[in-house]
Amino acid sequence: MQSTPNWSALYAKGRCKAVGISWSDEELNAVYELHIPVEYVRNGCKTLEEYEEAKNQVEYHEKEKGEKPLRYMNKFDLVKLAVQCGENVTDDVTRNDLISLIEVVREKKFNSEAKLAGSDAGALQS
Amino acid sequence: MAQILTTDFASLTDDLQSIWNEVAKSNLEEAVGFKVFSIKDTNRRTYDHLVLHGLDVIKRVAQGADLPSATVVEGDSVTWTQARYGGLVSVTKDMRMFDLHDEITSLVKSAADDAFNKVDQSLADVLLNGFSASAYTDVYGESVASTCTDGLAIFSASHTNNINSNTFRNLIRYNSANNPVISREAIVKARVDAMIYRDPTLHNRPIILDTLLVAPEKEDEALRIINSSQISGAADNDVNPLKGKVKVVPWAKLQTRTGGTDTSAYWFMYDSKRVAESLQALFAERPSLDAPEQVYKNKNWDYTVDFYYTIGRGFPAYVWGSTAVGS
Repeated sequence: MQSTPNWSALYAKGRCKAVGISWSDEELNAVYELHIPVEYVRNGCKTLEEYEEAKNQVEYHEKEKGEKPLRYMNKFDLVKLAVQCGENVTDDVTRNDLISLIEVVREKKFNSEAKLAGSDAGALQS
Repeated sequence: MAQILTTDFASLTDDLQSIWNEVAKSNLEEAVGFKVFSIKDTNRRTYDHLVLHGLDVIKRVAQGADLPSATVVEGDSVTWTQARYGGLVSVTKDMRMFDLHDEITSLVKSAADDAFNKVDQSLADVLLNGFSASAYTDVYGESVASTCTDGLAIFSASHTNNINSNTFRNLIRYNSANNPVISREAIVKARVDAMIYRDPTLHNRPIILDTLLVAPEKEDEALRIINSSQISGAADNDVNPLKGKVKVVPWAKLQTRTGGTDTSAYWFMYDSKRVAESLQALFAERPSLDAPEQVYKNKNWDYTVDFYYTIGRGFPAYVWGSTAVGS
């Protein structure tokens, strides 16, 4: 006997923390009262101070690496990256799955490049 | 004393089924959950429920102009999945051999009691576990999700909708604290909060909280608050405006939640005309007693009791609650 909300629709609209995980009262306050973007709340920001700090870090990362950290990217950008990585992606994939998939591909690439360069950086990375 | 023979099978079955029906009838009359929840029959294994936030159709119409067409504001959707519950009532060879008719009938009575009490407790547990979004263990020992259509606990200070960022509450509050203990003031505040409820498009759709659900331990206090002619506990003779506006319903199953937590101080209010939109129980098969089709090697006559149902947590605005912890 289960009553199952449409979690993927709730997630897509920023109305839950993750599929199957509700917002806590504090997080609801951050999203609906403080109007902090959901991606920041999903990454732990519950106050405006925490949001400002995280926003600066994301901006710095974007300036340095030319893209936002994966956890702050929207699904559209993550799908584009996953396709670039050679994955066959459908609309049903979740954001979190995309992130871990891209991380795996990038880590593998990093390791093989390190190996080619004869460095032990890959081993350290893993 | 005569043995119950194979030739008596049909009459025993009739007898047991009429006992079952009698016990079921009296249980249904007493089971409060069957009155609070909207009980429906369905033949769908999974039932998709869509919340509709009402029509925004009535507009000023100029002379000769076409009437505006109705557009439904679609809300959240939720899927309710049926599960089967049941058990065997065995009339053993010994019971038949020695005509233990009393034992046989009490087995059936107790099976019927068990079935209806467990359904009633499962309905009460929906409310009693409605203050947390975490899954809980139900009366059958299964883990069930407690979230409603917006992915939050049934009772929340900030229910969300899929149209805009407006929120609404159905968590009772008083003096800016959520979950007050039951009191006249808290009831009045809950009724005011519900009456000024605005739908996602910010139109007022009054919710009339006309029923107060309490555990037996709070029944006396609730009746005094609601039914006294004057305000209960006050020194003056001021009239009690709540009298006649709210019905007090004691529900034994609210006293203790499955798992043993004392929930006797929890209290709930609902709009009896609209609560069906919030709380439903859908039966694909109602509890029934069926005769065995074959006799096994042990010569027991195994009567089966089974039923299919699911509990639907819909749009939560029409039922309000408080744990009385005053957070």
